[in-house]
Amino acid sequence: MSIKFPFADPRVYSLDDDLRSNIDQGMWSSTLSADEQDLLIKKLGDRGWGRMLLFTKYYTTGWGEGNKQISPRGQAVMLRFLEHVTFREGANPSIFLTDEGELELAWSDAEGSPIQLVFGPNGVEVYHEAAHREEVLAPNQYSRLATEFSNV
Amino acid sequence: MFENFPVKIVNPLPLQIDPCPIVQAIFEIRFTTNTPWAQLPGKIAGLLGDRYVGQELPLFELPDQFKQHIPGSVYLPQYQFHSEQFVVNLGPQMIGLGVQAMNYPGWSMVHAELSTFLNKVVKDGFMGEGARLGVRYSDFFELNIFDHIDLDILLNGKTLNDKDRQFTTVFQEGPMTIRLVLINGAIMENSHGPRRGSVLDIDVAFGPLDFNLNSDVLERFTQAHDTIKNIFFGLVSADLLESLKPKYS
Repeated sequence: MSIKFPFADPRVYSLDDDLRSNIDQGMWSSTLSADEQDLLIKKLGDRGWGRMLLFTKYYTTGWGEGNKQISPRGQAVMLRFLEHVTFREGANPSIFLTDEGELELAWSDAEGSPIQLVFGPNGVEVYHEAAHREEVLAPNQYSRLATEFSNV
Repeated sequence: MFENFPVKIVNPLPLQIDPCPIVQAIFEIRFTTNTPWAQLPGKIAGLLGDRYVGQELPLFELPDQFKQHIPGSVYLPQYQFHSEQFVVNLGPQMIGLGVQAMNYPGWSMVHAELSTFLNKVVKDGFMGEGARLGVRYSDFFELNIFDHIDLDILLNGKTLNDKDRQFTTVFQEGPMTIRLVLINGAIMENSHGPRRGSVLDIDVAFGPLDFNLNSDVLERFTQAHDTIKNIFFGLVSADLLESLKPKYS
């Protein structure tokens, strides 16, 4: 959380009288935990992982021309989706941050038809051209979604 | 009680210990917002009322261009409000109620203040999405904590004879991510002057899908507090607990 002691160097605990210097960068992950980053590396590769780090660290409110930062709920749902999904070999999904702060995963199915999943605060927008599918699912449908899009 | 952290179950839990080792307790919410940072301190000052007096923290004065290059700086406190017993830390995307250092007034008073604070602040609606809800308690003891807890660190089956030790573990219990930190090389200044001792620090956090800003923030804070209390009393050894003169009624 947001207080300095006891982690800042020098490695000796100290407590400011008035808690003014409550800065500690090192111990509390403000963006993605090690588990989450490992998941991103495994599912989206080095590039996807790197892009997510950029999105979470530097794309703050108002990035670009007044765009929104990442939706925490959208991010959490996407990570849960990634835990459950097995991407088709060679799918190489790309990840984007939309102007509205949603996270978009995009790849092509085995026939080259586009798939887009957009993870926002209130649901997941699903688009699969070949299946003529375009709908919005509730956030808690991530497991079902992962099953449906595994190896596609 | 804990699936991934097999501390002993203590039942009943003490209602009070003396001397109280708590040096810090913070209840924090991270959030997204459309309210510009420049407007937030004034807005919160209005919500908190006259009991709290505001002041800028050092980070507040740094230029935004500099702060943008500090990852996570939006979650760091840049402005602070004080009352006699509590502090409210405020950053561009975080707000937290804390207890004045080494002045823990007991859970019933903290709970009451927390309830008042949430009624004023959360209901205002300036928070968009909740990103993280966390509670952190830090305790200080004038002893080597590793000699007084039910947790051993062994090397080839033998106890380490080290000079200075820091131990951190993170585990998941249901929706809660729990971080325990133990440090035996700590220096803290209290009413008796600077003292060498140990820190026992527990942080419990809920992710964005596991709390709702509109309905269950106080319940989640209470759940996190109760979890911390269970871990604390499950960890400390019988001799340390005895020295804290626990009261059960």
